[in-house]
Amino acid sequence: MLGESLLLLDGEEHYKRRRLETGLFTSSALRYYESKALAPVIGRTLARYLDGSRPGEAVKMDLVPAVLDMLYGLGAAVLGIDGVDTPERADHFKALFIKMSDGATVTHSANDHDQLLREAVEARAEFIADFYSASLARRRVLVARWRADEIAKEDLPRDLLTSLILNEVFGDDPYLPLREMVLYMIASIRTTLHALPHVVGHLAEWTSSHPADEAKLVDPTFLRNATTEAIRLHAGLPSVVRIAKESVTLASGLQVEAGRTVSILLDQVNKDPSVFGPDADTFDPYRKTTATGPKGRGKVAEWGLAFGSGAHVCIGRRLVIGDEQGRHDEGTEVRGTAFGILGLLYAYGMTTDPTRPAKLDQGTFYDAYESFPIVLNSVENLVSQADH
Amino acid sequence: MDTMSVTVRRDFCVGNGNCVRVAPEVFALEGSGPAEVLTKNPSDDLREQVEEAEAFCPTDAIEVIRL
Repeated sequence: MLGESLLLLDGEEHYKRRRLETGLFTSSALRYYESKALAPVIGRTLARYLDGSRPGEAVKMDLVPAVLDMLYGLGAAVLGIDGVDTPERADHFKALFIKMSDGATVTHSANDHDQLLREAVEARAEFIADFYSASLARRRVLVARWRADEIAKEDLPRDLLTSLILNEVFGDDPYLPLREMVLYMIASIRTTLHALPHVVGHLAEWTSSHPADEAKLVDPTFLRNATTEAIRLHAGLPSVVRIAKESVTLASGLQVEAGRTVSILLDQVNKDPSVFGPDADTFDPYRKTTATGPKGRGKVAEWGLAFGSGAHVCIGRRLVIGDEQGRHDEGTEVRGTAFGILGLLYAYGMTTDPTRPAKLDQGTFYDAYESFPIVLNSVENLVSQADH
Repeated sequence: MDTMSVTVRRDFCVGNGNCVRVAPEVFALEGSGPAEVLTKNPSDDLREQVEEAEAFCPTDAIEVIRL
């Protein structure tokens, strides 16, 4: 399901594909997604949860499925899939992608592998018929019109599918864009969905012992720091696996022979006290790291190795966490999906729900939340936003 | 008129070299780096290349300030 996708390429082939797809994550592209895709998706999703609530009453909802709906909506825009614009179509799109994703990650599943793969192939056929073919056809027409000078390049959609058409990546393999889409959807959803409930949980504890920081819950810098700190502590994957292309001796003295498979345990490296301080295993939204690699180069990121490192570093990390504030002029900065979602929910008075405890997913040893109930207390703002 | 200001954060750069391949008029790399900025205020026709180099950098070492 992921063969020849960006994840599995290496060397020059990887460079070429990555460069092509980097265009989806430039500052101007990210600002485009934030304003044209993320904001409407959040509004539509929250409107669904408002259904049946009365003005003036606090709204109870579960953060996990709500964030999942928002991320699938945003993902459709970044991938270039049309028609994910009603609750029914959004649910259908999500259901098909979940089956394709389950097929792509079947190696890690405790369920029947043959059945999962069968369902993934059926879902792919349904996805092609219900979403993909029409989206592809529309973009092919637009690209042909651009090549004929009938429309400007700015009139082309900014998404993965259009990029792949423009750069003629299809070759003889009509399923390649689909595999790339599944990869992007898995990667973009996993980290954010995993991290956001942890951010909210940590911040609830933090503000109870640091009440002066409650006012900072809508502050972009504070919220970004809290998000990167939570991602450091709860990376989307327990480990990353690499194969050594040549023999190397690490700074620690550890020798790795060429061809050996190396597993980097993120939970351990991201809580290394020599890098993140003696309290590395606790949450601190004010944490700063100054550690670097050899010769003072390659500064360690605030999120540790949660997004990987080097040529295969997560291509969409800026989409999730945005840029450090102050790095760009006001109005041109990339805020990130995490701030886009959490900042808005905090503006609506989000708190954890004291009557319904959060539940970890019992189907995994990993610290993923299955359910994270929240309450939106400033519902008047929410109602007026949804009405518009 | 200058439209952007480009810098490389030297302590972030690991000399990957993507920036030089994407925007050779703006970046240079000798040995393992760090990368150097050849044109601190590149002209607007290089904006797309500079933005691509910024997004392509695996260590977020490139800073582009829009003026």
